[in-house]
Amino acid sequence: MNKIVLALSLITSCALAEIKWAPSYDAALVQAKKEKKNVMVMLSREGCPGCEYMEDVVFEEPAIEDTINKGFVPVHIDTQKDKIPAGLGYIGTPTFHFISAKGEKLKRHDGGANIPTFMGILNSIKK
Amino acid sequence: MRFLVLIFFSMALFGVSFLQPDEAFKPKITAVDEDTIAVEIELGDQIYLYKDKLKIEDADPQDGINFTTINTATKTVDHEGDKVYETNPITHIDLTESKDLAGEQKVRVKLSYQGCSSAGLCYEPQETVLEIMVNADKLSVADPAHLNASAVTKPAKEIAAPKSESETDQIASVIKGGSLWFILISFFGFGLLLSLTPCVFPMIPIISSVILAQGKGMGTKKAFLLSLVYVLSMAVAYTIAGVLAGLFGANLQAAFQTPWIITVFALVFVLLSLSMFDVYELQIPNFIQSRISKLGGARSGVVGIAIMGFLSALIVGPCVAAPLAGALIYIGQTGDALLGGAALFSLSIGMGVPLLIVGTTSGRFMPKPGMWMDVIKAIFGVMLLGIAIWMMGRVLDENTTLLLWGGLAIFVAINTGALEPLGEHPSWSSRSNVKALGFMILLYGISLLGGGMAGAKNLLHPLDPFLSKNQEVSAPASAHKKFEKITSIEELDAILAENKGKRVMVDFYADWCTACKEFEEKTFSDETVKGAMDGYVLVQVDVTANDDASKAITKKYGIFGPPAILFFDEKGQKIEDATIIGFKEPKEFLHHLGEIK
Repeated sequence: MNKIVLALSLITSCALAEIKWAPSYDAALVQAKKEKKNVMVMLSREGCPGCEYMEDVVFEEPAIEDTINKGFVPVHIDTQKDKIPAGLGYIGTPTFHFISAKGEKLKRHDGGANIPTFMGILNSIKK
Repeated sequence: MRFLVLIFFSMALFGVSFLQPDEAFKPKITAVDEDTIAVEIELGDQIYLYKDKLKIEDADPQDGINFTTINTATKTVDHEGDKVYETNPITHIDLTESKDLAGEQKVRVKLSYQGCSSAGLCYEPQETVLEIMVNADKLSVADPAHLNASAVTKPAKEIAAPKSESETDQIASVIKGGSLWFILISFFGFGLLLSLTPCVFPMIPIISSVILAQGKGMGTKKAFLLSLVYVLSMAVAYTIAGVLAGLFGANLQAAFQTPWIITVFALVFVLLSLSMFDVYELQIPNFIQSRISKLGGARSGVVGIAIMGFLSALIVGPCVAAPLAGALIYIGQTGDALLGGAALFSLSIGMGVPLLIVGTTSGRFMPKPGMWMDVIKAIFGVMLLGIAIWMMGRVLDENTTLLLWGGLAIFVAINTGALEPLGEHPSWSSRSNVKALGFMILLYGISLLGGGMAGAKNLLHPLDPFLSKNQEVSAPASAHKKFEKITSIEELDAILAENKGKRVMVDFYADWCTACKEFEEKTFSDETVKGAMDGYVLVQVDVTANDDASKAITKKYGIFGPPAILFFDEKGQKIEDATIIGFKEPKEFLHHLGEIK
């Protein structure tokens, strides 16, 4: 019996996992409006250790995944390949911009952050 | 616990402020002697520059002054596989002239570079042109052979080909793909079980007779189709409920992070489970039930059956209501409408299977109701309790959760009659088999409770706290790998000094880091890995506190945070390219250990 429950909880955690990145910034804004969420823009580039740390460690943390999937529409912008949306300033990568569904800039964070720090940033964004 | 830690630290420290690019990199140009100039890039605090991104070129190749050699002698260090300058890179450029120039001439150097701050930000590629005046009279005339080769440094190698999808991504997508099917199949199974609970089962012949009454003496095919219509319309109702739960749940998602909300929902599950143990009855009020059934009965034919099917989904019996509510809450938590719909559809198809069989065979085939139905009901009750404990696992620490599991196991064991005498039941009867099973559950539950009280955290190894102590006494050599726990630079320095001549492995760990726990549970506890780590002095830096000491030590070694593993050689020097960032499976980890020279 315990096994079944264990298996069940295992499935749940897997089902909850994985951040759902929007395909583009515009799509993210549309989705955010629909789902009444904020947009989280991650400006990144290939080979940037801070970006890789975010991807490999912070975004793999279940609590972070949950918080992002629940409150945000996340979207990646590759500074080498994609057009940078107007108004999203950055001095380097990774840079995070938090934008409301209406397009207001809520917060900008420069650089990578470890799990509790990033959790703090996410929680500081009001709905 | 973990959540409290998270919330506490969310208040402290909101990121680091970074230098602007022009503060991080300050390029300047100076004359070294008559025919040599030097370009130096002054690096700000914590800034490093990629060797292969530093390019120095003659901005005016045709101006008559040539760059004969361009040489950057500054030492590089290995940084996650790339060579980087951590000290100001200084480049010397030897100048010659290719045509007769006189007096002061302007030399322009085109400089491009790219670097990062080890605090976690990479700057965009920078480009600038520096100017300096040189006296052309003093320059020697280049020999023609030199001319062609002159202008540029060897083109730096481009950064390696785009990385393939990282392994973790691959694994995650595989698990995700797999788990969808797993969820659908499980829900189908739950549906099947639900239909066999004591309050639904007796309804099956009644419903099937309603279907059969639609056409007297109809063939098997028609009976099957009618039953299918009924089941499918019931499924539609459940699917809608699932989609709604998913949609509605999506808005509740953030709330599920809060400990007290998790606690409330866990309590709801406990309450729901009580109805499975007949503590109370959960049921739609009778007057609503009868009104609904009248509504359906008013019509006949396929449409009538469809309406009946749809509505009967709403009149769920007391046994179905609780697990169904549980399923809906569970689906709501995922916040995924599609998954919700699919899961509930699968559940209702599962519930419909016995109905299809009974309907199609006109009731000829039918299992006999009996005690076993109450058992199924109890199984659901235990499952709901299990979900409640699992949810609380996010709020409580692992040890407390383990104690709760232990309690549940004992509760199950006693109720399956693990300690009841067998009485006149013969050997190898189902009763004695159940008792054996119950007894095993009892033993497991006792181990959980006992081990839990001694501080065990791992459900699969509840007796670890006892074992490791015994092993230490009997066979210290093969004992459980112990890391020396430290929190500061000073402690690490002391350990490195003490262990000259030995290799040291330093693992950065924090309670709030799931990947760190994975490292401990999967990789470090792997027997082969243990063997391979034998040659190392094992140190664990606990940065759970995320305080100044934690930040100082992560900063010193240029890592962002846990999980990260550093290796130090016999002289106490960090082995530059050996650092591991992020989780590694035992196999990968072993491979990595093997690669360290």
